[in-house]
Amino acid sequence: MNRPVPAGLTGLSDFRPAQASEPQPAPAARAIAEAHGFVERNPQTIRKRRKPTEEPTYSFTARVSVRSANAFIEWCERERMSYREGFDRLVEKIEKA
Amino acid sequence: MPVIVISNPKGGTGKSTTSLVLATTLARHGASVTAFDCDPNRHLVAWKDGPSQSKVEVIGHADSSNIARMLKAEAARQQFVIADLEGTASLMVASAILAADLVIIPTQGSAMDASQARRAISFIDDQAAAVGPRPYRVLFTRTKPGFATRDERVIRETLIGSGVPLFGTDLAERAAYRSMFTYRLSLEEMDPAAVNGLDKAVENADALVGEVVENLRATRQAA
Ligand SMILES: Nc1ncnc2c1ncn2[C@@H]1O[C@H](COP(=O)(O)OP(=O)(O)OP(=O)(O)O)[C@@H](O)[C@H]1O
Ligand SMILES: [Mg+2]
Repeated sequence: MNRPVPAGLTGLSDFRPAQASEPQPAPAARAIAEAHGFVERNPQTIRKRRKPTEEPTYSFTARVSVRSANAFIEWCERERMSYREGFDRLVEKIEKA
Repeated sequence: MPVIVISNPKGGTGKSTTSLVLATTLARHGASVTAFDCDPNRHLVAWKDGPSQSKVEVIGHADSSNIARMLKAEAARQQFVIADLEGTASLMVASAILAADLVIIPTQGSAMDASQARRAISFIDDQAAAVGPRPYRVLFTRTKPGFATRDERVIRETLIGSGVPLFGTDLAERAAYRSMFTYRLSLEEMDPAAVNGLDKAVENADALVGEVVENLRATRQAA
């Protein structure tokens, strides 16, 4: 592209890198900013309801008796734990036996 | 030396586009430029990752606690520093405005854009008592040359009527400005056969940068 350089852009050497002499903004500046609604934008983080597992997980389906299923679900609800935690507690009993 | 901050707390008013146009145009005219990407969408950082040979440097890791210091440090190293701010009213935005030699406030011809532009202006005006005046200027973006909508005309008149300084040059709606982000190139690197109205886009960019530079020179003279 061949075009004439607009006046004013032919030499920009009068703009030299230089430390600005401006003093740092007064502490009042922050208060004024907040009064105008310029506030710290907190990065939004999702609050996890449960602790994530540290170990790998595996998913399987099992056909069990209604009687055992009901007992297991009720126990998990009573203890306010997930099925995963309930299953872990049952497995611990095998290890201890 | 000058730090040029591009800000409007309203989203999507053309801040990132204006920032990239200014930075690459100044670089095309031989100036050393650092662009700060303070937009959470990281458009300038992504652009810099592309194939462009432009000498514009991009910094993408400033936060509200260090932005003012980082802008000043770059100003000591580069001829021009440009900051693309996020489209919200955050402390980072406020801090960057306070470190600016010129605040450019892009707005489209809509009442919503203009009212948020006023918010930035009233903040700058209120700060003047504490930290001194910060020169600012409103820039109309995505305008259609020779065709101003009624809204746009009314908003322009209202702003002028209340003494708000406007740029005489708009950043018109041009496919080429979007293509800069698509191809991650600067205007002069794109193929005129592939991008519509590229010549007009370059002309518009030059006119705008010419006005920005003229403005900075005038402020410097006054100081
Ligand atoms: N002059 C222009 N010509 C064509 N398209 C434009 C122009 N200015 C902006 N756009 C388009 O408008 C949209 C918003 O622009 P941009 O991302 O620059 O705004 P922004 O103010 O930086 O937004 P945000 O507040 O989300 O950071 C984008 O899709 C962009 O491509
Ligand atoms: Mg943006």
